[in-house]
Amino acid sequence: MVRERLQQRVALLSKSFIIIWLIISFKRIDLRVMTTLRQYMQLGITREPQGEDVWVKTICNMCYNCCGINVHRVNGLAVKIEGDYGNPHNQGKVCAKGNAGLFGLYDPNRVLRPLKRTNKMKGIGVDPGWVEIGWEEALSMVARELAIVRKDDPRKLVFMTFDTNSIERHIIWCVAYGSPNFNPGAAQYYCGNAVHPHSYMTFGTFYDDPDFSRAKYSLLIGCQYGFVLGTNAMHGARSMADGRCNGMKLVVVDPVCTNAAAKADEWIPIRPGTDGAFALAVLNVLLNEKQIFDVEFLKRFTNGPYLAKPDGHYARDKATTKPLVWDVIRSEVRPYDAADSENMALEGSYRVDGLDCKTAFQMLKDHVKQYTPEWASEITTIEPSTIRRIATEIGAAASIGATVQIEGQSLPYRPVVVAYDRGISAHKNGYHTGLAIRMISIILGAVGVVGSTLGSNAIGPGYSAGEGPEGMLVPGGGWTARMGGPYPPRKVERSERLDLFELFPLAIYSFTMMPLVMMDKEKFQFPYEPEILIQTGANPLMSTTDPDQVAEWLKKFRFQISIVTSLNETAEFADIVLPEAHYLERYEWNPNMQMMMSENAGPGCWYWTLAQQAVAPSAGVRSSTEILLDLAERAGFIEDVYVLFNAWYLKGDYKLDVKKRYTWEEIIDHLAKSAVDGEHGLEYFKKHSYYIRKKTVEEAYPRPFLKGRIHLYYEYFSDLGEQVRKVWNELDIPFDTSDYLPLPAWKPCRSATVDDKYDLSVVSYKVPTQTNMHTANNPSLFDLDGRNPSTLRVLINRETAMKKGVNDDDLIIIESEFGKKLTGRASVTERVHPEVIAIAGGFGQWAKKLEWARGRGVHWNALIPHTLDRIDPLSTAVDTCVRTAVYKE
Amino acid sequence: MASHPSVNVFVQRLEVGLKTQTVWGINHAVWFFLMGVGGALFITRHLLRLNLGSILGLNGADIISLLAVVVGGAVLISDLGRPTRFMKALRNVRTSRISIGAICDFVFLAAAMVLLMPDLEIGGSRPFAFLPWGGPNPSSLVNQFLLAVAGISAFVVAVYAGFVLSFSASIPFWHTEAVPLQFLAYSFASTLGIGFIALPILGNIGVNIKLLEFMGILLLAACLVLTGSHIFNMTWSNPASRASVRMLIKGSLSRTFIGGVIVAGIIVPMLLLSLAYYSTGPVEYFTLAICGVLILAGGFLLRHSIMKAGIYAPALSF
Amino acid sequence: MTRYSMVLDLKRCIGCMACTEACAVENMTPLGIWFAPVPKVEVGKYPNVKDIFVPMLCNHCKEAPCITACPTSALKKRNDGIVLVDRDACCGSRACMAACPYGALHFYDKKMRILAPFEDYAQRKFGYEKGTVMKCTFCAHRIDSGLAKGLKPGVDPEATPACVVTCPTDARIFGDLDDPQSNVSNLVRQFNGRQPRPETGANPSNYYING
Repeated sequence: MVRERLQQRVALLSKSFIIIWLIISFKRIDLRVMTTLRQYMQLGITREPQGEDVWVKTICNMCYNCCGINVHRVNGLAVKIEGDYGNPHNQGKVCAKGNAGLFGLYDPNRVLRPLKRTNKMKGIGVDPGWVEIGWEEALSMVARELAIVRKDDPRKLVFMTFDTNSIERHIIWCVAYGSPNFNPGAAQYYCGNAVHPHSYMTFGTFYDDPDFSRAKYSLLIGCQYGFVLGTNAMHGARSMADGRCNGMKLVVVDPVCTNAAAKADEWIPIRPGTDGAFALAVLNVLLNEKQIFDVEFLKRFTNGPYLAKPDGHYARDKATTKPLVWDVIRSEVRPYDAADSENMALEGSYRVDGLDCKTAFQMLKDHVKQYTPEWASEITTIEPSTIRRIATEIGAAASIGATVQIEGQSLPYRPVVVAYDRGISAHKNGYHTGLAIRMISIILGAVGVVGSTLGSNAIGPGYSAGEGPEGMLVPGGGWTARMGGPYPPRKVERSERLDLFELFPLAIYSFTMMPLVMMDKEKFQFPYEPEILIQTGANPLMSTTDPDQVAEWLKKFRFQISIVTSLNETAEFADIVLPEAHYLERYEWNPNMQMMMSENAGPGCWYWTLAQQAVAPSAGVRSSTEILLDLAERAGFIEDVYVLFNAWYLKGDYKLDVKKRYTWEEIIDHLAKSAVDGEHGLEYFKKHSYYIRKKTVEEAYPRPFLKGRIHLYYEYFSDLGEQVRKVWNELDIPFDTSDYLPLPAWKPCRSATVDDKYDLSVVSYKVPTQTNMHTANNPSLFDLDGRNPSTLRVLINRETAMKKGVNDDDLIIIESEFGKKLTGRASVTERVHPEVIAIAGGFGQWAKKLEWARGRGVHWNALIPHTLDRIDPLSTAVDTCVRTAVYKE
Repeated sequence: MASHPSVNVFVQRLEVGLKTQTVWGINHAVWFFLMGVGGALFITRHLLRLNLGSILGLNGADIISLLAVVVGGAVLISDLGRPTRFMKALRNVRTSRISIGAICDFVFLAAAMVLLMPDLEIGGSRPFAFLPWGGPNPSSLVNQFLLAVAGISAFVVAVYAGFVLSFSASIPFWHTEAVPLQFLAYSFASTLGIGFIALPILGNIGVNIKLLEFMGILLLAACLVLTGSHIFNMTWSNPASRASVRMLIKGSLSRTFIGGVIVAGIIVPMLLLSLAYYSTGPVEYFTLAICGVLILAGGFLLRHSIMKAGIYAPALSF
Repeated sequence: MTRYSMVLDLKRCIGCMACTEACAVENMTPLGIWFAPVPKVEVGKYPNVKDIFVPMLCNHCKEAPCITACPTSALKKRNDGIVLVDRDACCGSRACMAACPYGALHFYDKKMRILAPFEDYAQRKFGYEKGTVMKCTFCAHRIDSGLAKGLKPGVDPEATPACVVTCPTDARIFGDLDDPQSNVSNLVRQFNGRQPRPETGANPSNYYING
């Protein structure tokens, strides 16, 4: 009976929680911290035997790529991190961050004992009045609060984390608790909002993985893929370098000459937020001016041949309601699945039931005609001739029709990569821009084939993306499917989640809504008041938007629990701080998240891996997972946690007995054996660190083997738009739904308008030496960036600087049109668009205990206002387009 | 950024380009200056029979010379990262200019002291008068030998500082014989400067004042020519040395170099000396003293500014 | 004879500073000292501008100016071409720093510190002393222990400098320049490698290619 009830509950929770899996994105806001060195020396290091000299294989957690590392431990002291040569992701290579990991472990300002707040006042810069308390006291206090709220209404708990190593366990815990309010705390504000939905629809996966080493032409738009940044950092970097040295042409479109642009054959500066206009013009040149597109691919693998009526909807078969195509052999319409792809008409207009219906591809072609390079040039500041040349070069490089032999199979070879990332996503028009950019790859057939952009796990261990409604591509089994994507269309209804997820059916997360709902519950007619916040591995004060606003909604929580290694800005709002183990002190199963990397290590193989303790944990600190399991036990819902482990991860004999209690290491043993096999449990992984399975050709280059078609024409968008409008009208909140269009369109954002006073747009860019907001306090990395002539300063174009009388190293004020002011030092350079100032992300912290990061660099996020009208209505990304005036102090 | 003066300039700001050296600083300028003056003064005193009064029975010039070398050496030693290891700095005589210089420092000090010992007068008695090379007959062989050793090593002491800089191929502005020549010329000019300062105090320093003035003009002219040709050559040789010149002429060092070294250190004293040389009136001790001070200051500032203007060329050019 | 050498591929280097950091940890250098920095240089005018990243380290020159400049003979060249500092002999005159055209020597100033808790470990392993000069050793300790195990420097990671091992794009290549068949010799020939500042006559052992 109990079991049944639990199962029902799990089913219910799983359903409402599909989405939580989407939480992943690039940023990992995980501030690690620690206690005093003295304590550490006493408790951590000296208790180890003398004469010890060992290497421990584990997983790096300085960013979310989870490279394999080998930690050298001498007498209990970790003294060196080196790459694990066998790990398929990084193959022995480690970036600057990974190398510097030890300095976080031994940060003298780490928290090592639970802290209790004594000052009732909360706010930025307010001293919390910490007092140290015992673990028992802290845990029982937290458990009591958790139990009370859970009994009342579990939805009142908000769980905020982007500790990518442990996030899957955090989700399980949150779901078992019964709250749908899981939130990565920042990563989703403008990170993958307009990346992942598009990957779902294009590849059937959460993320993509460009095949640079086989590509002949790569166009990176607003991203630095392959430069030790973002996803697939290490194998991407190797693949990119190999590609460039094999003669691949690299073109980077970006307002800033980033490291990627510096290594490109061509840097094309662009006005920020106008990439959509550029992509649409490229599409126009390819489709209409040059007529370069992969006819076979479009017929077989897209909905290009589907007929659309003048009202935009598909022409459907009367009997089956299936979309119709024009069969050129029979000269008649047929349901899409009744006709041979080869015989489908790709272009043209056909009369169906007295209506002139065009093929979806023809709709696209005609639609983009308006987007001429001359038109785009006005918007983007890129010369029309450059747009034409780039389009022509890509078209030629795509070598349409070419094939290549791989393991005896003849596969399509489209050596063109068109990649974009967070840069595009961070705008109000991000969704449409993403659609337009992806469309370039789609029309060239450069999707999931050799030399092109690959989905990271369309066909993977035990799952495969497949054919959904109307013949369209849907994600396969495993995590990718469980997370759900923008297709098949989701139900639109009033939401009782803080992120109003049900109102954004095309987004894969909508956490940006949470602050807005929290700030004005009445407006959104929201039914309950959140009470408890658990913060771990996330620091929204630094990594989201306007900190003053964040502080306001943080204060609304009655009880905040921070499970952190260092007292970062957000932890300074906590009521209870629970010290967390550093990543070199903890166990975590397959930290290389299934949902994001999906065990993917490039076209070569899949792998599973274990993070283990490289050094003994200091002073009784435990990993966040262990702390949470303990809290679940104390608050009385550990069985629900076990049930979820069983439902989502564990198989057969390895399922947990809900009546028994397991240590975290025992659970890992079950997880490992379920993921691989009985031979490969905790002991195997402790010794070998990883287990590799070679990819088959189908898994490596999945597109030719997949059935589902890629959307070229998003027929269902307009219906969804209608439904969304209805709900917003019910709420009586004006909301723009005009973006629900079936084809990518140009939607200008703030940067495209001229403003004499606020004449410069501000953008941020990434540096390879820092991860998000959680590595700046590493003294060694900080010293490195401090010596970089531009990283901590504000890039301003030389000509612009001259006009404003700004000299290199001058102190300048950056005043936003919304009244925020920041101060920084100017770095006068040629490497930035004249209308732009650029600030490297990851700096400008202020927390007292962040000895190194405090007060250094510029906190770019502080300039970003967070209001409903600045949110992309499709992707929910916050628009980062902010106009500023810059002047000397 | 935790910026630190001792951080290698190449990593202070990670940018490929011209890097101004920070290894040698004011301590080294003092060292170079004192060594130059000390060595040259010993030679000048013995060539011109310069007499700067008598202290403890010894010629004031000898005392100043010895003191300058001792203090210069002490400044150098105190600047070492490991001062107690200064004796090890004598090891690399084969290639290191500093080793050669340091050995000559010691040889000079030893030889000069031994040479002067018999003249030492303490409380009216001369405890070392018995030494064979002392006394009324100073032309003994030992005396001559000691004088030669002290004189030669004094010359090296005066000149090696210049060679320490010119030896450095990494800094094009220094990598020329013009540097040691300049240093040498300034050193001898400085000894005359000391003479000019001593004049109003002592009234007579054993040398014809007109000769002193004439030599001063000549030496200062030599300084001007050497410095001018160094600067001129460097303007046309390569970007790094051009940057050095720019630094001296227009940049951060222009006030020191143009104002301090060229105008105040050379042109003004040259004019004053010329006036004095051609005037037939009484000797203007005060003016000569001012010349002396200016010459000395110019000599110091020259070393300082040449050193500060050392710029490394970039490792790679693009 | 062996002459260890590094080839630095300016095309492959992406300026990620992994080498710089790996070296700092491998050699436990004090904060502010980087044996293997990757400075950059901005070349060109907007919009035809780019950064060039230049991985650097001690060139272990054949005619090393630091060795000749050192008054205490504290700098010595091993038979395999590696130039090392004899910390006991160094008096901290910094003459080598002024002489080196590449800024490869660093003064361990009294005010500098090795980050806690590694001071003792670094002291024991490398014998660093304040007031003396330190420099890149081509990770001689790795080479020596690797050779003792029968490994080949430049091929086996364990016997290869840390900066080379960690480089994500293989922009640093290590090997024996005196062996005409070695990886470095081949690259220098094939890509017409150039030495940094050859005009100083130092005959550096490192070569830059593709830039």
